[in-house]
Amino acid sequence: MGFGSPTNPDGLDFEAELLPFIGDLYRMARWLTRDPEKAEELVHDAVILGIKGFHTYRATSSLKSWMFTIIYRLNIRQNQKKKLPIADDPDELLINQLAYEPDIPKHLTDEEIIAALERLPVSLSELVMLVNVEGFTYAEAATILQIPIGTVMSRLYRARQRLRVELEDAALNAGFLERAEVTP
Amino acid sequence: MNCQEVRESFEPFIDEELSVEMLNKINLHVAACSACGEMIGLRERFDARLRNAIAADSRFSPDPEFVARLQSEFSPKSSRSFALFGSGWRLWFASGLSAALLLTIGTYYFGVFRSAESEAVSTNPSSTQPEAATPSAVAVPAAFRTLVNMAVEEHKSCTLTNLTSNHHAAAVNPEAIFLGDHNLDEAVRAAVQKEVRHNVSAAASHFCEAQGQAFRHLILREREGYISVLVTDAGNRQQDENAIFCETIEGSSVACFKSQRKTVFVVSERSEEANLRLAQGITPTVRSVLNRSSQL
Repeated sequence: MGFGSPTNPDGLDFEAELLPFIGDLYRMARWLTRDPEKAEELVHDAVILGIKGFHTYRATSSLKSWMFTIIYRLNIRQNQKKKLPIADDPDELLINQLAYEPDIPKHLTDEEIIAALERLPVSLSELVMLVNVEGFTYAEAATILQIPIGTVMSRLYRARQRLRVELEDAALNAGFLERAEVTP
Repeated sequence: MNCQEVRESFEPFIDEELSVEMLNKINLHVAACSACGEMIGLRERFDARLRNAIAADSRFSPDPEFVARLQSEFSPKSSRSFALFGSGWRLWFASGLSAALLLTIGTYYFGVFRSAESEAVSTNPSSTQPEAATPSAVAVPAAFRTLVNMAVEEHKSCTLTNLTSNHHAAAVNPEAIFLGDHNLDEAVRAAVQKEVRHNVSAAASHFCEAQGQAFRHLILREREGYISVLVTDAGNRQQDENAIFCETIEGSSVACFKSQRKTVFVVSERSEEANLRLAQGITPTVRSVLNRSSQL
């Protein structure tokens, strides 16, 4: 129990509630910023905002989801300050033409899998991180990203398709697959 | 439902986002359609592999020192300092003042947690099990000796052959099918964190192999060092499910318990008693996850 940790009207202690998923927050911040120092700063700033705003938090949503929303808003604000464009998906048409469901090539390493995910536009990879890795529901992901739930579903579908294609390309380049194996 | 309708719902099906009615319809179809079943299997393996890759990558785990600094923000004094310095908090942390403050907080936390932990063990009857209350009470039976030695000695720095997936682990040791391994990793990490009462991160997670025996190996990082949790196939070895073996081998404490057909090892540099207490604390979680995995 923290000796200066705020409590909300439901009697929840911020530090005690936050501590179990600090690692999850960092993982997402690290993904968004692609930089360990910026990730630490983002998590730190989010925690400070959480401390200040915890009296407004109600247990109707999970604290993890609440903190992830803060992380996203902070990250967007910081990107806007630096005038960095938020990447979008340029290959939507190509992805929608894919009809087959390739498995992950077995010989790829974890590093190659993560590199493939990193090659996706942020708007797609962040959903894979939220739903696949962090285990948020579609509704929670929609709240965090402030997009409609239908957009969550369609982006997630495209993200997974795109990722499979990236992984196949990696396997082909590494010589683990031959072209004939992936022809639908 | 036909195959096309089912495949259109694969994503929400795997993400557990469908209504019970739709879920039942798809389950009915899949039970009778091997092609759709295979496609769902592909999707699930895809998701599991991705989760494992991220979980095992140390780049995505926070530095324990950063977590300690973050915890210091819960001090009213440090919060005021943050407000003064704004986003230049790194400079503030770098000062001698912060070092002194952190040392004080660290000592405070350590003292509080350690004393609370000792108290919980000595006063809470449910936190101890009669069979394993005394570390030396349950020695490692001969049938498990080889496995225990493997878990402790051969996994140091994990120089064993690394296996990349469930598939490869099963190829080496057909009984070693660890379905839901990501769930196991995360559940174990959270359970260990709850027991040690400070932040614990996953430093690495992989399959490895020794003498034809495949292990799921989760390496956790905490402020006092590393904790390894290993799961392997118990084969035909018989063991009381309530007993936890423990001993010290070459300076490492190892606790070991059986859950259904799996054997679980907790290896750390903690004292034998502390390691046993940790193993006791995480046992219900590990059993629950392994039980769920075996039902998949």
